[in-house]
Amino acid sequence: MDKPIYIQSMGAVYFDAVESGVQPDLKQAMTEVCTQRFRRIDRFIQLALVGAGRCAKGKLLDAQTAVYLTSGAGPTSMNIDVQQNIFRDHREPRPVSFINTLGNSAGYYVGKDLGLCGQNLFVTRDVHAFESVLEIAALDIHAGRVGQSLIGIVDEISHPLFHQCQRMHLPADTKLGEGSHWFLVSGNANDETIGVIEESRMFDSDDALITSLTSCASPTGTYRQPLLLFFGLGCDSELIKRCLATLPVGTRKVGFGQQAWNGLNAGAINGFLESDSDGKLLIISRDRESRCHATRVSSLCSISESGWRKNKLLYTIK
Amino acid sequence: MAARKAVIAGKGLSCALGANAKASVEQLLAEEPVPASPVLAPQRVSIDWFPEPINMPWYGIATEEPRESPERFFRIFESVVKEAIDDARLNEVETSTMALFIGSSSYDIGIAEHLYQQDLRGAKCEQAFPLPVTGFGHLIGHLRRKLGFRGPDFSYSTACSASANALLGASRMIEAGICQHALVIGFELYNVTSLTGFNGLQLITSDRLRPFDKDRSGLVLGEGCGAIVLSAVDGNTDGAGTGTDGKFVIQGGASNCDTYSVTTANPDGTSIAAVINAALFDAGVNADDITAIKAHGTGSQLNDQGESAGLNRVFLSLPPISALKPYIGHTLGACGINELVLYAGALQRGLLPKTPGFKTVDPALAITPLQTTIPAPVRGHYLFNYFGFGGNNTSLIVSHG
Repeated sequence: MDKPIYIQSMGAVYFDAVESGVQPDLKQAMTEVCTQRFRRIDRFIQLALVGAGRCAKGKLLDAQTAVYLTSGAGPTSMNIDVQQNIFRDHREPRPVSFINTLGNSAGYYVGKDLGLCGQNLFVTRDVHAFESVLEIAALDIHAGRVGQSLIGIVDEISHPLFHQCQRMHLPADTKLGEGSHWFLVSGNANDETIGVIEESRMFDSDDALITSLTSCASPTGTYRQPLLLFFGLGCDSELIKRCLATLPVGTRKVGFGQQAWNGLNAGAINGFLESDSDGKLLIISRDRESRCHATRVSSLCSISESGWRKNKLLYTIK
Repeated sequence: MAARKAVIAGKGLSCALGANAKASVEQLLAEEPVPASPVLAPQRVSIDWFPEPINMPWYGIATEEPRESPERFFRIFESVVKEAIDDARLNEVETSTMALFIGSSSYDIGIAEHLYQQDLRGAKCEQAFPLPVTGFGHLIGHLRRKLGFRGPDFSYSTACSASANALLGASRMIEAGICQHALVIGFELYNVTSLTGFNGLQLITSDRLRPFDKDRSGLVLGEGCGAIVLSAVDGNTDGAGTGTDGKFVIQGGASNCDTYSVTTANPDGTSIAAVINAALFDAGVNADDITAIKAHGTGSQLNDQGESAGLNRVFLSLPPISALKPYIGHTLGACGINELVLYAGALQRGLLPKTPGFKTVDPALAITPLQTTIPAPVRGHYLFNYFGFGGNNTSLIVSHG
């Protein structure tokens, strides 16, 4: 993705993993943001509805607004439940449980709640789930097929946590999180724009990433000013060191208080824009095949009579 | 209309009809199917560990390995991909830098089931945990490691329209000039979750699939893996393939979300008509330019009702309609690619395939699919329909000639 997309609003829900095994209830949050009451939905769908509802902020969206949902692992708890039913308990899954195992069911409920009947896709890519759907959404926006889009990433905790770590190929004692981050985006800036995703690029190795960063940090490159750097999943100390050594003096590493989950990078965008920080955030992550991803976000995004300015944020994460 | 388009450069397929695309198309068009052909009758599959055992018709791929073995999954997957790449005659660099797209409703859930079952039966059964592998990236990751792909990858999960949406995404990426070639895969192999899930929904017929028939009684699931290599072609392609040397051009398509129900499109056909009209608009062709239709045609009451209502809303006079699920079963997320490979194979042989099993017209649907294989015109625009759970409707317009 090499052309910018503009964030008009964002919404999220996020929780650290609760060791006791019971994640915070979402019913109250759903009551606050959903336009309808839904029965027989699971936590994955609830997370999607709360995040998307908070992003829509009660506004009536254009019915053709497209939905691009992604996830690292999809509705894990429901798939676990169905497999236990079938193989351990020797019971057929309930029809509603089977439907909820599908990745795109949550997108359906988001569309239903917000009155959307346009394109509604679920696209993902291993650790870089958010970046994959961003690329597909940007493609449709820049081709003029879609006016505005809701882009969201949802992942849920399943207990016990050490099994979840095993599924995510993480050390057993990794601190985990779950959440739902959504962005309403379009191809043009307007008075409601709160941020810009300027670029998102994949590199097939650490070296390819560093070569690109070196070029960008040159006197004529994109990164002449210090950046905020966020390192997502898969980044080890060596990669972090190399990135920091490459970028302009004053560049610093930042965190946004979220534990390991597939939506970390989207959470960083949320956290950055909510923090009222100036400048640009560069998000870097690496997958199990050593492919790196770099996404650049700017908070200086809205055009007014006096030039670029930052819009006031009316947003809280919880 | 975009001057740059995506054309089908290579095809691969493994399904109930055959182990590769050529054999499958030959069986599709065979005047006298071989005795064991699924065209005559599907196989049956049993799941016998429930208090009420399940036994249902099913279209499986004939293999020597046990159908639940991970080795079988990967062998079929790799052979289909290699067949498509060989057919496209790409060089090493073109192959390794292709963008990869995959659509499936179940991905490698069958492997997770196999591992969990193995652990439950093993000495350490108390340590067995469900879903020992999860995520959507294992199949693509396997391909990348095994065949050396380095391009970007995208995994689509939109139920039965997944690989059709993947194809649409890939063609748009080629049109935008982001990539020159893309490999699009539809993948749906044996897994108990899908079989029991559809059984629980009471969507499975007890005998055979009869799309649009008055006596239709449900669908039959099938397994299949298909792959298509798309390549960029420049120039004017709006005259049913002018300048494309008889290739298949992805002229356009559309996808929408019908929130009538999570399991079926609105039976009044409004959302299906909307997606077909959007696809026609995207492709720059009119309804009366459509030469023939590959229907989704699951044989379930509501799907056929919604699809026929949608088609009748768009077309004043319906062109010839074929439904291919009676040949290979409903291959769910893979049907987008599998049925396109079969239909394109028939067109390359100058034929529009018949729909086996159809006997009685349903006056409520007003649709009569082709009951005999007929010659196809040299050039034409074709409509392909795919509908999935989660309200997902997708239509593609493909030109040939």
